[in-house]
Amino acid sequence: MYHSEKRSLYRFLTIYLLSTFLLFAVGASIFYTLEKHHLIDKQRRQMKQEGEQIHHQLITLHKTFSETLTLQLHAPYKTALIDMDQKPIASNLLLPPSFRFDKEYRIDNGTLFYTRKIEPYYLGVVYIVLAAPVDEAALSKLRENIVLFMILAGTIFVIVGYFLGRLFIAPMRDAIGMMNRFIQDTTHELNTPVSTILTNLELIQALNKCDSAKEEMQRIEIASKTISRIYDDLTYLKLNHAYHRDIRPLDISALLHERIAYFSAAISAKQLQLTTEIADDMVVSMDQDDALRLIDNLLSNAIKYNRTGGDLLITLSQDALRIVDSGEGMDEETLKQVHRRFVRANSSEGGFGIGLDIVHQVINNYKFKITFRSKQQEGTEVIIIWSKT
Amino acid sequence: MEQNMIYKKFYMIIAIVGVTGMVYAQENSTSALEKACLSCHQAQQIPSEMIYRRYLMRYASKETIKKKIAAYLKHPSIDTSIMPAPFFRKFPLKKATTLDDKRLERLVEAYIAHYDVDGKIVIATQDED
Repeated sequence: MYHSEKRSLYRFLTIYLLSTFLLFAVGASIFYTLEKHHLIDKQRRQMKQEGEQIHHQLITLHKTFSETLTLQLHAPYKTALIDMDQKPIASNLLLPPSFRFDKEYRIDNGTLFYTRKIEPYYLGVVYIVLAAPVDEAALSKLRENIVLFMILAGTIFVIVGYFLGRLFIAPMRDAIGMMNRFIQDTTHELNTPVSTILTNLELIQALNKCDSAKEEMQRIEIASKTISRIYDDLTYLKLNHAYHRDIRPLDISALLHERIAYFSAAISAKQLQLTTEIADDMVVSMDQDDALRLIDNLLSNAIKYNRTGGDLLITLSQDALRIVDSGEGMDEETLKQVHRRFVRANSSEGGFGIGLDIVHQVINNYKFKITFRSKQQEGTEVIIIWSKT
Repeated sequence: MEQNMIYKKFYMIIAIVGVTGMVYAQENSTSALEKACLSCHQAQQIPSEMIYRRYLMRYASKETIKKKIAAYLKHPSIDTSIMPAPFFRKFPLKKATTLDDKRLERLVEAYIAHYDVDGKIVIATQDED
């Protein structure tokens, strides 16, 4: 799966799952509230029945003249028999302060209270107050079921979402696939002629066969190297998703010298004033191809977008690589977008807009840091800070 | 040490006197009730406890009951009585009391304490089926 494809799928899944979760959460909350009320209503009905039984017992006990009057109560109920002065006649229940007897039901601190007013007042009882703890076991079972349902529904929706997402991004996948196949075919076809041109060019230069047309030969060299670099970039992008990196300590100083030499023709063609401050034996653990793509793209941009006769400063220290050009520079808006694929800072120059995308991929892979400082009409400074791992 | 012993003895005497006084007062009020009211009631087979239950059922307040009983004893009539009119066919209306208010109040309180259900109701909890 391609990177952009993955990103789109994750975005779709995030939105889809979040909205589904929200919907389910609201539904579950309504369901929980209704069920809770239903459970409490059930408990209320049972309490009312118990209250009625006590009432009947009071009628019987009122006509009983024995030393003890036993009132039968079912667990887990507790009761208080209250007289007209709101004083308890008999009670095994501690009523909360400011208890109101005019309210039929009330819940206080997880306890459900039921007050039944009776008339006539058998045994002088005006209010029968019943209390029982709110059925937490049933409520916790309900919560458990809702959570289980949410997990189950969530799993199903993740699976459905994944397949839906793949279905939605299928046209994008096809388009990317087509583009990749096109790049693959093009690069494959370009490889042989570019290699042939560069080899023969080196041969002609080595044999000094073309002294009369040195300038033209230099142009051919620059053009061929540009094509060769584009070929390398495209191949890198194409293989990036399945690319095995051979990470080992790499002499960045030597590589930088080599790449400056590689670009020397382009530098001199643009009459750039090159200043280098390259620390010796600077070693970074990374894959050679990654390092090549990173340095080549930064150098190529600094040359390509520089003005003719401008300055080019390349500094390599133990901490960072710094490349400063004196080109047109970029505004802040362009700077924010410049790392995106197919975005070009300046369309007046050739290119596909993939250079800085590659640079950012390399930076992200190795957890390096990149900083751009640019001022229009003054130039751009790029600093790569090597991670200290 | 000796002073402590004296204090202890003093407190014990006070406690014994207090408890004895309370028991005596209780017994005294019960016997006064027995003498002033219940002996006659029992002799005439007046259902005193049932009468008190009727008061309880109508007023459900000891203060109100106290007032109502006192009012009836001062001015006995079918209207001020808690019992229905046919009751007086069997048990004729008593004469108005000659007791002074304080004594009457004490006796009514003793009557209520004697027949009240407060300490008699036992709540027995059964396990759920």
